Amino acid sequence: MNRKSNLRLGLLVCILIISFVLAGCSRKPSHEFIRIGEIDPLTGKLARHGLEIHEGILLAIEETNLKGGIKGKNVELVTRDDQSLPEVAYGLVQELVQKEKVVAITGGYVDTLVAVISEAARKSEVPYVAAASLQEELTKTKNPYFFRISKLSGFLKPVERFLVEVIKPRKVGILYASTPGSTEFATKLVEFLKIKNIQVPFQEKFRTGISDFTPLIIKMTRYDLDFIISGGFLPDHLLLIRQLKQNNYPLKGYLGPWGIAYPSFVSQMKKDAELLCSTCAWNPGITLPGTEQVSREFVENFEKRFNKTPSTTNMHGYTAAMVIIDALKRTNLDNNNLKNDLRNAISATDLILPMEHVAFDQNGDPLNYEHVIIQIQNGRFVCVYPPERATGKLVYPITD
Amino acid sequence: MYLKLLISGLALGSFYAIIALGFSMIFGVTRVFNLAHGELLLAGGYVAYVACERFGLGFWPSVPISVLALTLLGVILYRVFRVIKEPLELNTIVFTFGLVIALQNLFLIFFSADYRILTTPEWSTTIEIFNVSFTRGQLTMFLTAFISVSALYFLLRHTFWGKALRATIQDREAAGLLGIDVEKNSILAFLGGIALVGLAGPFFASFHYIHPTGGIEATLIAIIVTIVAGVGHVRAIIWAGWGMGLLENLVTTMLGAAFREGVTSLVLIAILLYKPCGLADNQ
Repeated sequence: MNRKSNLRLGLLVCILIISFVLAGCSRKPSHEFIRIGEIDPLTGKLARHGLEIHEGILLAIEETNLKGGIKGKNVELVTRDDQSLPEVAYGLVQELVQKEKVVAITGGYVDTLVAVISEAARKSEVPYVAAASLQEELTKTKNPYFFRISKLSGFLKPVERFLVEVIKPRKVGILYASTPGSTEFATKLVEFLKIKNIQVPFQEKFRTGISDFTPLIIKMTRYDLDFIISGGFLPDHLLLIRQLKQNNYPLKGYLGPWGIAYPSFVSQMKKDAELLCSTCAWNPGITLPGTEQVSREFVENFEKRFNKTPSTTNMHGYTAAMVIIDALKRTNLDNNNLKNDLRNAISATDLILPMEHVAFDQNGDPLNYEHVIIQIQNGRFVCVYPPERATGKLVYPITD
Repeated sequence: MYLKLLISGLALGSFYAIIALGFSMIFGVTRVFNLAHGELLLAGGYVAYVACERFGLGFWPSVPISVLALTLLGVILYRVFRVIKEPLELNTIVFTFGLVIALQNLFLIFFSADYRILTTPEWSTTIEIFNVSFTRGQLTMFLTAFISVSALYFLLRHTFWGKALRATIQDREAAGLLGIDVEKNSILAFLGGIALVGLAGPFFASFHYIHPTGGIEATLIAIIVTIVAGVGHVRAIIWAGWGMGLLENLVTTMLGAAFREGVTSLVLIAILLYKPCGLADNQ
């Protein structure tokens, strides 16, 4: 009986080994394709946004292939899931470069993940275009292979100007999440408001994901705040807004730079989402002047492909992938030093897309990434600032 | 201000107690260390969400539906747990870890990675009792936790089945020697525990929010409350929950939200150093 079991086990092991070998053979990189790698959090706590970025990237690749590819070669996307874990993300870069022979990498959501991917990309000497990254430290390291299409000041500057020029508050309350990007955003905003003689009597850091904001709301009621800025993410806004209402907080104005300008936020919050403000780089109705046609085409193609309305995160993924595709078109694909040539081509990017006019400075930061301020009015995102792009009038204060 | 803080702390603590009840019961009787507790709770939350948002049922009708759905799932799970060999505690950790991943992926397939929240606008209305204002949500949370714990306590203390179950929790082998049907008690306790998870699911979806990987938070809360209360001490669960809720609110108010987790963890460590078997343990 034992011998029989051993034989069966041996047979099973042999079959498994043969299957792995055959699977490995069939996945050998083909020279008919240009391979682009993608690392995104497709599972784990950041899966929601990771999947959105993935959809944007996928659409960019499919559109390119439908139009005949790049110089007659189709683009193949090799996607890897970092499970929202930095330690996983690091190893995936090596795998994509050495085993899958990708010429560039894109994707990435939040700086904890983007930072390790960018470092691994530097070591592997492969260009990496991050889809969503904020922290200023990341580009200060002068990594020649790291580029990103977003940056913190793209959120911060419009919020600063909006507060000073439009809201003109006496007192502002700031809540922020204990993530690097949110903390940096809050710190810089407080410094700016102090220079402008605007009081910030309430500022609190919280761990994203907490269940109860009531003690913070009780504290806030002491200060008669004219405006609240909350640097939390979508789920934090879901709870905070609802608990503000439950505690009958006299809310005059609320802006969350992240997580509010999403159709899913409005669908979950329903009328509680009304008149909240946020920032956004792009939305189906808000696009860079002159790119209306391209933006409409993107929305149509996206809706056809994924059967839903695209969000700003989808557009971030699309933009990052389009930067690599555009650079590949300007690169000699037969060059032995393709990755380095591609890096040079990316750094010389000058591409107008619905979200931004993409061009990079010497550190890989985008030169023209800037958000607009939106307000949710009748369930729709209405651009209220800057005036030259406004599509509606701001309602402030809310409680009047 | 302090009265408001007390009320919100008790409401938060009640929420913690509701989350922990099912875990404590299952672990106490069956020794199954259910790492998938949070995911099962999410399953209850998703059932309630579908009942409310897709079929237009209100919050309360969705609660028995969630309880029933989870109990049925519990029947299947119990059959699987019976197959697991000794050492049971260790093997169930491995098994339920696999269950966590399987359930997370199922949620991702059926509900996408979006955050979902059960809207209960009626919970925002304020009511006044003896000149003290509560929101209806706070009062609901408080009463649900109080009634659940009291009912379970009564069942365990004042019924023959409850006494048999407590004997099983204290010493399975001795209980068996005394003629108690340990197996039958284990099934009933497991299904009862899972039904309590089904009860907690809609509350979690409404008081918090649900998304495919959000179960870990609930599992951690359940483990901490159960350990602080002492395994098998049902009444102590509500005290542990309230204690944690009040402590978190007090720290947030006095020191700031950034200190909340740190100070709470230190206090919990201190409690466990002083009372290693939990607050309710007399030794």
